Amino acid sequence: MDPASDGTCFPYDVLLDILRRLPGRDICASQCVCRAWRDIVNDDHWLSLERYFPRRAFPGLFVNKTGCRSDTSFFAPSATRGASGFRRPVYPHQARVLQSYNGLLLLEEWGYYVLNPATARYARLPRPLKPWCSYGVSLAFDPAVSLHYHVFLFPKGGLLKEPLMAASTQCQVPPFGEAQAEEFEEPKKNVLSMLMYSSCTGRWEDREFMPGLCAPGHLYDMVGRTPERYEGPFHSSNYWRGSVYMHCHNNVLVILRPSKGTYDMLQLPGEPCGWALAHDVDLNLHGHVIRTLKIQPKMIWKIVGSNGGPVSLSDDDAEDDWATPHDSEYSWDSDEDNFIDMVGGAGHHESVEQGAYCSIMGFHPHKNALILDLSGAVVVYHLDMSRMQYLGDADELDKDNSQPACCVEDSFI
Amino acid sequence: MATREAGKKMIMLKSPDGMEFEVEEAVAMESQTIRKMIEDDCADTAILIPNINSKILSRVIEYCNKHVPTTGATGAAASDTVAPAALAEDLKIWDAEFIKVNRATRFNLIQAASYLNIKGLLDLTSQTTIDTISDNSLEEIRSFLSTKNDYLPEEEQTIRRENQWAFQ
Repeated sequence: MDPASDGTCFPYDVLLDILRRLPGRDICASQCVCRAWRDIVNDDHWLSLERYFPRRAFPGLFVNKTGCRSDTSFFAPSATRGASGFRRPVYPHQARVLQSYNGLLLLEEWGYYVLNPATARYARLPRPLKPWCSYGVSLAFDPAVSLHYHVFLFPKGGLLKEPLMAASTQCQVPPFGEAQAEEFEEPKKNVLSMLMYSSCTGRWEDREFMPGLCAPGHLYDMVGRTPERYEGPFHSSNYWRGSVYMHCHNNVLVILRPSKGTYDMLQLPGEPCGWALAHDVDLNLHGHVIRTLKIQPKMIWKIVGSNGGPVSLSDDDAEDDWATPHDSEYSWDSDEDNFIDMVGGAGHHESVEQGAYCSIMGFHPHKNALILDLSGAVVVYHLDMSRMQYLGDADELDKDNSQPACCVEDSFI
Repeated sequence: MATREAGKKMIMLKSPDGMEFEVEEAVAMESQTIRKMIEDDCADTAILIPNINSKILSRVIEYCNKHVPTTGATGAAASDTVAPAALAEDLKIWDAEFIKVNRATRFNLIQAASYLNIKGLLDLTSQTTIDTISDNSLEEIRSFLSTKNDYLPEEEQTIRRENQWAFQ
């Protein structure tokens, strides 16, 4: 058969029908065949849902808790067939989830672990040879680049080993060409030393990052300086498209670019720094609507795991416990389910309660959606559409069959 | 008129190249598309099946003849003598023989099954394609389906990155 002009040898409907019969992983991979396939996969709602959530519509949340026997749990939407009792999560012992990225979890329990929850295989990282800061651990994993992962740590005292030069306040634009110029007498000054663990070598090694396009000296100093008031440890870090983003002391964002060996630094909002407000929405209104309209929760949270050893999340047995993606009434259907309609939104303004709060529970990078805890309601907020879906009650996440009272501290999707 | 004498009524199917096929209504109704036409009384004389040439149409009818539920005129005797499991096994062997056709014919059968909405035939004919997509590299898929890679290298990289879990 001759190839059709649009690169497909089947009519749209036929190809769609064939693609729909494929498992999610293959649909996803087949987007690379040609543009026409990608468009079909992207246009078809059912296919794209499959693509993001290959096994079940909404995989669930990893939740760190305090005051519980088990520190971390994986909460998934309850299945039609009930999951029994309190079940421990998949990881070893009492580890806490520090990060979740690209299907790998970074855990901490007297050391660091990297775990693949899908296979329940984990690796315990050796202790670094140098003393390190307890804040600032970052996992970097990009299977598109390499199947090996890296873990970054700030060495203790690493930033402050050079004397401070508080004078430089402007962006030192790239050292290319100018690097030899005389005004940069100390081009080595702002080198950022990190400890890097590579699963390739299985060892920690020193890694030095040079200033990148935007690495103002005063921010370099601020990262190393002890904050004037206690802000808690290192705030958070994430890995996105090959770069490690670390929210450090004094509200400085450090971006490591391991492939180039450079780093950039940014002052985060809070100080005058030229940030533009890109997304402004009053989320409390949504919370008010949830409470007043009494929307039925989409999810009844259940802890996934088992009393025994590590359990594979993709076990055949385990799969039975979960709803199948396409016909589950619990599926998180990104196009139509449980959207909160803000009709007559203005009318709710006066009645918004004072104690309303909002915290970020997780971010789904592919969906560009935030999982928020909005005054006790777990919602998905789609940044592209500015629309919100109500998933379930955050109180349910606090529950633990052994101890009812605990507090959700952080969570990861 | 559609329900005068079930099992006996004949339907005329016409292919665009002018061939006519007379089939039992029950056989024709294996196709949900034709069933709908018959039920809507749109099938008074002959049904023109567009886009499906006589060669493919005759294969489709052959399939439907074999797969029509055996409770009709000849079915009563058959189910008494042959156990259902054996019948199913027999049908499976028959299917395997039926699908031993070249690639172009199979693609045409897929399209015909899709248009005529014959689920069993579509399952049967598209399985090879599904297996190919599942088991092979992108290059092999492209060559099997005569599809050209029209991505720029960086575009393909982006898609791989966005869907990286699928390539592990």
